[in-house]
Amino acid sequence: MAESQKTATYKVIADAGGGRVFRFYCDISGELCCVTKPIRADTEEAALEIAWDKEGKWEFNLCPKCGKYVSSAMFNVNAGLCLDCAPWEDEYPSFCHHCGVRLQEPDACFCPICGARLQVGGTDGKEGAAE
Amino acid sequence: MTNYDLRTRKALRQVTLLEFGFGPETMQRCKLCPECGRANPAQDTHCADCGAVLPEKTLYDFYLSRHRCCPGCGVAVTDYAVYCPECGTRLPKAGVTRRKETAV
Repeated sequence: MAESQKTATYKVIADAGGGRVFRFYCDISGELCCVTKPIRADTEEAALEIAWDKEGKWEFNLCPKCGKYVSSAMFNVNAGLCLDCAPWEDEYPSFCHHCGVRLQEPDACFCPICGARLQVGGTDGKEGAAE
Repeated sequence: MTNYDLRTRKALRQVTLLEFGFGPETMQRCKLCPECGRANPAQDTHCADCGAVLPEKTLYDFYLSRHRCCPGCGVAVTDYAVYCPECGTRLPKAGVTRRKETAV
């Protein structure tokens, strides 16, 4: 696993009441995923830690492969990875991605002709098909 | 709510993903504000938060721009796919069909 960052990308805005408001963004798309309440702490680092632990991190998905914090839209929940590491694959493909044969059973786990693994989940090229 | 025929497992899965904010349809339905980053409905022209003009491209276009795509039907495919799982088109070698990255 890549070493993950401590938090998602963020901006800090000074609040009129002396606190700090953090805005956390998706590491891939830049989508604003969380705006925290004003947080009072001695240093910005301390405030960031509180903001991330109490509010920020609950709005993100951590990719275990690249360590990015991403929004739900940028997360492949089937593969458990971000969309940069694992693009969406149809769970019910019409054709085998390895040999191109039209599939009769949309929910088959393996291609009946070449044996390629058809299930989604980031097979990463290790589908076990005969080359 | 959506008008899917929920008798099929595929449609059920689509609805579930949409409900929890995952999946290609979620991306097709939103645009990001280039100024503040807020997600807005795809049909909107201005950001509901800051009023900035929203781009034409949806989040799905941004996603496709970062991946290898099928030249036949346009869906994103994995780097190891030889054929498109959606339309069966034989795919050029990885890297050939990667679209030029576009800003959201």
